[in-house]
Amino acid sequence: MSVHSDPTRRAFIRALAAEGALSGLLWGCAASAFAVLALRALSLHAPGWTPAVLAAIPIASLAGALLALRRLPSRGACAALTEDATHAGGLLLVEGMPGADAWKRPEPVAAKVSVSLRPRLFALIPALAALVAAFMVPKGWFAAAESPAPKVFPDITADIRNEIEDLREEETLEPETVEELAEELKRIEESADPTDPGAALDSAERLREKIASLLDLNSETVKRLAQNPDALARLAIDGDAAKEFQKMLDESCAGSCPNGEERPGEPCEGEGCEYGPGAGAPERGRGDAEMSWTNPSELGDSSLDDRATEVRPGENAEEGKIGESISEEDPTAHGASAKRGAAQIGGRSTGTSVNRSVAPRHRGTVKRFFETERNSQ
Amino acid sequence: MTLLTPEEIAPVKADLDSALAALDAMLLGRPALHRLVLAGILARGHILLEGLPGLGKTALVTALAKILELDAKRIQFTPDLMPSDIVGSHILETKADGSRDMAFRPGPVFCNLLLADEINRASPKTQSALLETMQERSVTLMGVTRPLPDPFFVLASQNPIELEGTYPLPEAQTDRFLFRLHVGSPDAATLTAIISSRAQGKMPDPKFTLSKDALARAFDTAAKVVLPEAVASWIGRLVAATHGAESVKYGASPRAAIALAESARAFALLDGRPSVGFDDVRAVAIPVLNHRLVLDYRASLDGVTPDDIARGIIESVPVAE
Repeated sequence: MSVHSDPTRRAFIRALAAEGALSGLLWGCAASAFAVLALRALSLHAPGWTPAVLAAIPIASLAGALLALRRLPSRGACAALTEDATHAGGLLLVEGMPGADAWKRPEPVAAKVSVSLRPRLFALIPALAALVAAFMVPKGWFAAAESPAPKVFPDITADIRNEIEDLREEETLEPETVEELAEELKRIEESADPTDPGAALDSAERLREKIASLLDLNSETVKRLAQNPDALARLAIDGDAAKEFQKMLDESCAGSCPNGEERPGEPCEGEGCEYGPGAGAPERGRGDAEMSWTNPSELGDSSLDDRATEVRPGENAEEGKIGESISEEDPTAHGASAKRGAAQIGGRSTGTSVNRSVAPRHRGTVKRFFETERNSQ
Repeated sequence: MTLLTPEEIAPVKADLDSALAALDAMLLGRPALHRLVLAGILARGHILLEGLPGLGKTALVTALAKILELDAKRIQFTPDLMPSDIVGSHILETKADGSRDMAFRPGPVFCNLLLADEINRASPKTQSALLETMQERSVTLMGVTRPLPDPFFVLASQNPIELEGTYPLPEAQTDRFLFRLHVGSPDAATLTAIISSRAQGKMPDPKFTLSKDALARAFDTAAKVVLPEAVASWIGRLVAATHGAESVKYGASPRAAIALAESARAFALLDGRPSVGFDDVRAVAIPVLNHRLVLDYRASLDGVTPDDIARGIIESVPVAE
């Protein structure tokens, strides 16, 4: 439309493109920094990724410039802006009209297009710094971040490890058994999933129970303990440990060996002692009783009846039971309370009577009901 | 449509420049006000002058009438002024042959330039008598419509402080004024020049007068000034923006858009241009809009004036759509 508006339009194109490119650069840097951080945190980052991540920056910049150019004013708008900026008095807007040549004015200076480049330039600095920092972050930060297992897990394995070390030092168990336990603990620790430590915790707990079961006092354990000079020495020094050991021995024989074979610090003697530790006893109660696996259907109706009761609509399956339960005499039906507010309910069908105290606000209703009942009879 | 040539505009501009110079010489210290008044005259609009007593409102109208060689009359509005005192009335007249007839005696409104002094002191009934004269430029009495002389302008004045016993102009009437111009106090230098150059403040005779033909040619030329589409669009958006603007109860009417366009044309002609620019619209926008905006209670609480709102609208509406 207007020759004079072209410089302004070109200036707009340049300015908008620069503004858009800077915005794209800014967002590209920020997105790349975020992508690098994410890849490194997920341990997916490889040297091959770096060019791809960096290539996203110019692509974003180009996309930003193209998007910004969509805001380019129309030629008429450019002419109006030039007209306004140069105070041309409307002459720029009527250049195409007949007679406009007589009003030819010197080429006006293109309107100054104000584009906010400086804030974007300032914002670009931290974005670039963030990108560089994303590459420079020590790997240890991510390692710390990727083990969110609860604290209880290392505590448990540490306890078990210490326990195994103690077993190894004290030779309480067979060395092979101790090594097996250590191997199992190692396997548990290696197979632990930081994101889902539940399975590892269960395994650790089972291992702990296994160790505890292995350490249950038996003749073999006591024999090993007695043969261990260090353990005996510790018992001698540590009064509490000695008492504990004594208690263990007492409990092992339970003081019920009729042969009187047991002695403190020693297992029951005699291979044939039937009352020795682990040999069982006739007083163990029903634990020794032979279990009966009789088919419940053979027991008859007297003992067990789990058949479903068919209830038709409107029937109360528990009616009979309720009748039995209220057939007992109500203790509150005696004395003053019975005189004051108890109503005597005569159950014609069951032949039983029930005394219940009736709240004052219900007495009228109850009375009317039974009077109606009586009249109908 | 062809643009006015420089040869067509040059003599008109020269006449208008001379008229402005003469007005500035007669009344000191208000060139901007004089330019707006002359633009209003060129746009064939009525002007409401608002200012304190003694600031030269009546003197301005008198000087303008002298320069433009127009028939000027003055009405001092009072509460007991009747419509017939303005537009005229019929009287029973005895003719030479002895017969009697109702003869029309035109009122002072039958002139080119009517100074309605302190217009807000007349009753609403009398004020409304001016409505038809201002809009239709005619007077209808007893079923007979009589056109007013051409050109016809009303230059009304009102005092913004002595409001007791006054009747504020209704919106319908203020909307008929092209401009509302504030007549401010002159500065010290102007006052010094007035008292040192004029005995008893008497206004000198004009050194230039514009003939009726020259004025008619100026009117024709002003009507041919081109209003570019971009400027027309901006005027439309400006007026539309007054509706819904903050603290504005009622925005400007379509008559405001017409007034903006016509007065901007006159302003461009005063500058000797064949087309209207955005600056011309800016120059006349506040006088055109300030009396057409009805503000709500928030404006009075915040101390916001119609001028402030009009200025804000001009700044906020972009020239490019």
